[in-house]
Amino acid sequence: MAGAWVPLWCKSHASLLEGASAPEDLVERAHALGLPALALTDRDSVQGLPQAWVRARALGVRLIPGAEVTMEDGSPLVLLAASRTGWGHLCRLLTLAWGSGVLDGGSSGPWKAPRGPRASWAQVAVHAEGLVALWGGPASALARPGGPSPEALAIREAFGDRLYALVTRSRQEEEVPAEARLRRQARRLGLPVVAGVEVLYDDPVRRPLQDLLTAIRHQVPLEAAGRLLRANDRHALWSTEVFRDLFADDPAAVDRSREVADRCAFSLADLRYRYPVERLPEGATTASHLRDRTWEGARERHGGRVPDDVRAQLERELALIEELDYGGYFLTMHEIVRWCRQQGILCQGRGSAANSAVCYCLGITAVDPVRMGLLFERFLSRERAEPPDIDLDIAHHRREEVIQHVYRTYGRDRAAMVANVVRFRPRSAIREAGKALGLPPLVVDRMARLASHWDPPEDDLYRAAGLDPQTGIGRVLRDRVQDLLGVPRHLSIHPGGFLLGHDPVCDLVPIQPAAMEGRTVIQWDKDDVEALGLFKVDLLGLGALTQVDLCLDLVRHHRGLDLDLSRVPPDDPATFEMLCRGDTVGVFQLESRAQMATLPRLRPRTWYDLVIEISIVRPGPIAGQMFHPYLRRRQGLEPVEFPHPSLRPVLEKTLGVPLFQEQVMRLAVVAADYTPGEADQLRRDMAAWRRGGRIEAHRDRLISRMIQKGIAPEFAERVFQQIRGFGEYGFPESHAASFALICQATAWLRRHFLPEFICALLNAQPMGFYSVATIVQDARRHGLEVRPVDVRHSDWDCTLEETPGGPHPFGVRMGLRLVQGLGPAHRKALEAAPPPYSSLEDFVDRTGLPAGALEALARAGAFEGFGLSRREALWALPPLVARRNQSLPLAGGRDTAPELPPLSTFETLTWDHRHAGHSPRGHLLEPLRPLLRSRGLLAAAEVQRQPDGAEVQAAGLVICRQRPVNAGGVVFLTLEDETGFLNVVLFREVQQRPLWKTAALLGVSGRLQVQDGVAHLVARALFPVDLPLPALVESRDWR
Amino acid sequence: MDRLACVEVPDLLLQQALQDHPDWVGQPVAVVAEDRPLSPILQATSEARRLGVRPGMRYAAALALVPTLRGQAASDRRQDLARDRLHRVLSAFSPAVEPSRDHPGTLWADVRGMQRLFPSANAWGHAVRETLAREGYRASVVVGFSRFATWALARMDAGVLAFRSRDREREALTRVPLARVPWLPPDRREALEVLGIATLGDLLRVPREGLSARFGAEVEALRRAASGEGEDPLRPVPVPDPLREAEDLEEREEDPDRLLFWVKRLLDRILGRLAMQGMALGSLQIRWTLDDLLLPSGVGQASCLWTVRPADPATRSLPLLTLLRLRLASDPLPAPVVGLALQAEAVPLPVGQLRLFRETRRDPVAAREVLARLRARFGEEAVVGPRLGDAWLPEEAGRWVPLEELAPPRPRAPGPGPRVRRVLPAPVELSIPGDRLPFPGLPVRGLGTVRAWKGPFWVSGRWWDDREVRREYGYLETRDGQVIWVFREGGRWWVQGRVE
Repeated sequence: MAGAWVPLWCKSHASLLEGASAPEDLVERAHALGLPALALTDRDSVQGLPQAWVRARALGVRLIPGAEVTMEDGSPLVLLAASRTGWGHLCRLLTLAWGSGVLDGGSSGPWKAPRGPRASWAQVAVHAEGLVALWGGPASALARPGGPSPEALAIREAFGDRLYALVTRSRQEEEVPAEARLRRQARRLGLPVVAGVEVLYDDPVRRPLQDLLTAIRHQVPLEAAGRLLRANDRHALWSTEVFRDLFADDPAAVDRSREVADRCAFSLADLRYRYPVERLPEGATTASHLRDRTWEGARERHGGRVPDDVRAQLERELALIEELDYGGYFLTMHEIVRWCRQQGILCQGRGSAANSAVCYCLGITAVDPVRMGLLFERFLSRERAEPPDIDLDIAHHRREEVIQHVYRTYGRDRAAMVANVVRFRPRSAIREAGKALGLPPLVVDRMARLASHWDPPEDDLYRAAGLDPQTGIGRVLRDRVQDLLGVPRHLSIHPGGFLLGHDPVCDLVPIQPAAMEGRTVIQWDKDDVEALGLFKVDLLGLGALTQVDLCLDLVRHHRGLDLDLSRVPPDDPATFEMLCRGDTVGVFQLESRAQMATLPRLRPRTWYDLVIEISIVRPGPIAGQMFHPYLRRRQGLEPVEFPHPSLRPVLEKTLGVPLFQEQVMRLAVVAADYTPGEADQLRRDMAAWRRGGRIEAHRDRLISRMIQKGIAPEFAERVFQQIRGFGEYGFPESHAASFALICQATAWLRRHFLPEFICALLNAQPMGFYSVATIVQDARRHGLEVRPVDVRHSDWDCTLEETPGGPHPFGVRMGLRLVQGLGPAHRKALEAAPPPYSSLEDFVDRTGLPAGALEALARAGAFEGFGLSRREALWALPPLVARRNQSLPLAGGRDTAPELPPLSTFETLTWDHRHAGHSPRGHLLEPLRPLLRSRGLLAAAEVQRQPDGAEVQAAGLVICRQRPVNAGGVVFLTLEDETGFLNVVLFREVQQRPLWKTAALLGVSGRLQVQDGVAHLVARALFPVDLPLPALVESRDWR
Repeated sequence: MDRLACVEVPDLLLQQALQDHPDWVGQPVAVVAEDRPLSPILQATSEARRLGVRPGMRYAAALALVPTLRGQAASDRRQDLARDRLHRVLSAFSPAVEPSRDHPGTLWADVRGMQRLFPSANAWGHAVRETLAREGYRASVVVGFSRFATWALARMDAGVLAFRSRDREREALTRVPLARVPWLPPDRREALEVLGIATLGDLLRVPREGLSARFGAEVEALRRAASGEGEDPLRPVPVPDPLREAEDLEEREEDPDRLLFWVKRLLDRILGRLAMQGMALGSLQIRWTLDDLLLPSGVGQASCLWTVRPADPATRSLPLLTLLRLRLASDPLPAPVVGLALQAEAVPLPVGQLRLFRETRRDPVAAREVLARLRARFGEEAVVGPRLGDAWLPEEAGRWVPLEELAPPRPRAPGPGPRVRRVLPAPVELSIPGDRLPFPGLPVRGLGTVRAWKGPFWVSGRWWDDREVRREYGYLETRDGQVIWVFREGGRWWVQGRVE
């Protein structure tokens, strides 16, 4: 057989809603077919290249980077990067085609191309250097009956001998005349002909998915898609034998595919990325400056004298950072953190950066890794040779300031936000596949609603929608939904990832407009950036830091105490006593139902206990069956044992149970002789095991070596299962430690400064687990006075007012921001005309608020301070507004106020909820309690007092629904009433009735399960409680 | 005003749906505006309401709540039929009936003089209610003095009420909640309820001044209506006249001519009524009732339904009778006829310029008449036209579809055109072994020896239903110059067509 061919026109999933194979799958198929190289040329995109490149590198297939560029007349032109210059030109050309506005200095700003990206022939000609162009395919300008336009012919000159006529075949009748025209034009222009196939999938079995994607892209049902679909399944990667047979009449064109491939010497490995250099003091190098800053920070952190172990660790880290030339990255993060501090913006590094003593000394993180014995290799290792990843949490209300600072510092052409690839998930897959298959909209809608957000749909779901998943259209839908899961749909913006470059980013990767107004995004996501060894800066918004920031301000303002995070006492008994009760509404990371139920059992007493608490209530440790053994050991119900004396140092602090990623890595080092770098690879494979089964490769090595070391086989196997269980969900200890600091600070603030804490929590909304209504009720149960909104006293935000003689020195005055229907424009008007107001009339005149906003305030009771009931205020407003606007006859006419009935207590509460989302006057169920009691329904506090095993009936407002991924389908509900919370467990058999998903007020009967003082009501039956509750209660639902 | 009565059939469409589907009684059932997920629920049975389904809720949300919910889409035609039926029933109890134009289940009736036929107004009300119940409708009947008051009180679903005095009627009216009176847009009603104005009595207590300026003219109008001001008199409407005629024959009939005379007799009556309405007949349905004693074995139905469409909307019976004669000749009825019923579809009279001179040789009217005759002679599906489809498969790329309108011809300029590919009505199998291509020199039975072969071209698809195809197409040229369009599927070769 003659030489192998090279596919030069291949499209993957990155050709959104067109390519039907993942980039890696194309590479793997090429490798399996013995093809030496493959060009990945997605439509107007290079998004799939990093994934393909990683796989190609591993398999030894040469990947030719390129793209199919859509020209101004809609025809395709395939461009391949022959050199680094060519790659830069391709990226620039695509940036121009997408209209991101980056290349004209941002003067035009990003705009949305109305028909998608389009490149002009002139732009292609200008960027021809370093590129090879393949001009062909039935839709190309070259194959048109009249031949290419004069504008298009400009590329002939620009590319010279790097322009080829691409003849593609897929055994379609229509290709024959198009090919004849194309060959005629090629002869006329003197273009060499190269043979190819427009590859849309790796294997013909993916053809149905390609059809489906086409139907979704064009928004037509498959039945009506007609010739929008491809005629057959001949768009796969073929073996050389099949391909040569297809072009048996022109073997030279096949050979030319090798020639083209050989001309393209560029590889993504050639991307020489330079991190931007910080402004350095005269005479300093990046490395020396980093050293100086680090030692300066170290002295500051350690009171002027750096301990020996810290010194040794810093030396080790600095040497490695210098060797890997990562100094600039650390200095950038240091600069951003320093700038935040200068601006009073609360921020803190999280994630594996907390394993680094350098990060700690530079002020990027707040955890001392040396004191904690954290593993530096989890952050940075020589073997990995990948840039470190530093995530910076920033108080979310000020994150935009930091983003703008980065743009200002580096320029919009050198700083761009990283993409986030949005993929088909079960619900979207069902909706889109169902629509394309022409299923009745009702069936599709019903299935989509019943489907999980994440878990692949099971057969029961199809049956519930009246479809048989084994036959007919039910089977087709099931198969196609399965195909669609995980396929990219569109690009969005990563929450805070920035790519910074010394050179313009658009020479590295195309930049395109994002959906968000005024934002641009690169075509690679965070994994791609990581795979290519580029540096990403993550600036993430964290509501808890906003809450802490606001709380500290309030403490300073009302009590004159100047506190900061570093002055939070690490071992305050009162705080831990509160945590042991599970009294944690608003406490960062510890306020979930699961955490509240675990705290009384784990009984934390130290900061490190919080690190464990945060880590253990996670899917990883639960799936790895570490949760219960740890709790039993901690409670003294099970002896603390170590499988081998050598493992004691690794597992001692977690009582012999591995809970953290670092412990798994250390365990591999100690028990299985992994190098630190190999251990880090193990950690990565742990995270990726669901995708590729890469963890299995470690199995034999880990288990056999542990046995060799004298560790019992059962334990070795258990450790391996635990590692698998960690999967994607295990926490690094360093990350938990960073979070534990914020967690401890919020707990301490809640315990000692409850008014300020609640006030800050309300002002930081939306965040956390609970709605405003629940936070207010919890505060009231703790004796905090919560005062209603009142235009005479309320600011926009919630504020504190003195409450002499009360259990707390201050009460919370609810802010006008909570009134439904008021927005930023109203805020401006209110702040421009502050209190005091002499009357409603004065308020209406001075603020100039529109009628709708005034009505919203009246409904929320904000005018009651003027001596007007809500109804009276509503009646009184129209003439006042009319007089102000001088528009209605009411202004001057006779207007007798009628006698309007007062609101009942229950009505008052419902009005509060409806118009302010909460009620400071009481709980909705309080006035209904006698009615509930008459029906034999207990309150939450009464249920808590029942013994274990008691049969009870209760009712409450559903404030949280949760179906954890590894709970075997069990649903956890949190019910709330005026006495507190009630945890309800729903096993599958009780979930048949969808009441738990829809009811705001739910009745439950079941058996009480009490363990270590924590009560759970295991439901036997759910029932509606027919009471006049409007749809006011907001539930927060979680996975 | 003298006494009148309001008859209220609540949730008329829902009641009609339950009549149409007796097996739905006792089940959660809802009427939706349209059969779409986001369509709102209009009416729901008490069983559905008990499970949480409420009018205004989206259909999809209701289904998520009650998976067994049965839904029926609202239809104007259904509603009109039901209203006409109610009208007819009530006309037996009063000479003057006025169906509401805005509320399909509401009718007013003049009850003056009824004391001679019924012992009391209450008895009249019960008689009406019971008759409607026998017809399958649940209704409430209120006999009183005010058009608005009787309607509002009837909306309370109180069975039968009869008021002796205006004062009692007024007093009862004050207790009617605004929510029961579909007079105001929901936002206005909600605005009043927010102020604690929840009943008509509450509304009447509010000072008139400022009411319309605050809440709009509708609220003011409601207040006026509730206070009995400016009430319109009853405007009776005659019982609707259906375009239907039927006749039971005293003796069975099988002679086509005599049958046509029976048809003509009934048809002329319908055409006369249509002429009065300024309408024409668009199509005619005839249900022949056959003598079941003489039905040949194998004919299960004792009736036949025919549809006849004239070439143009008809105002005379002759064209229709001509078509019927053709049909009777080609498709004789299987048994003697013992009855016939005609139902006409009314369409507007065609308007068009009369032609003074005859200019073209083509006569579209004559062509349409011919097509109508062909339909009458061979059935509705007999007249079809070709339509090109956007598909890869030849049988889908060109289809025959029923011809609705005859387009004027647009002849091309003479000259050499492309070759014509003529598709056979159904593929014909070829005797070539399935595992080989028809290479030159291969003898093919019925076609001769292959001189040249071009292909294969692959067409595959339709994986989403049970008609998945996978074909290899090609053209073979025989020694005698024929070009045959063939394909291979499932290991067998077929002729798809010829190239001319």
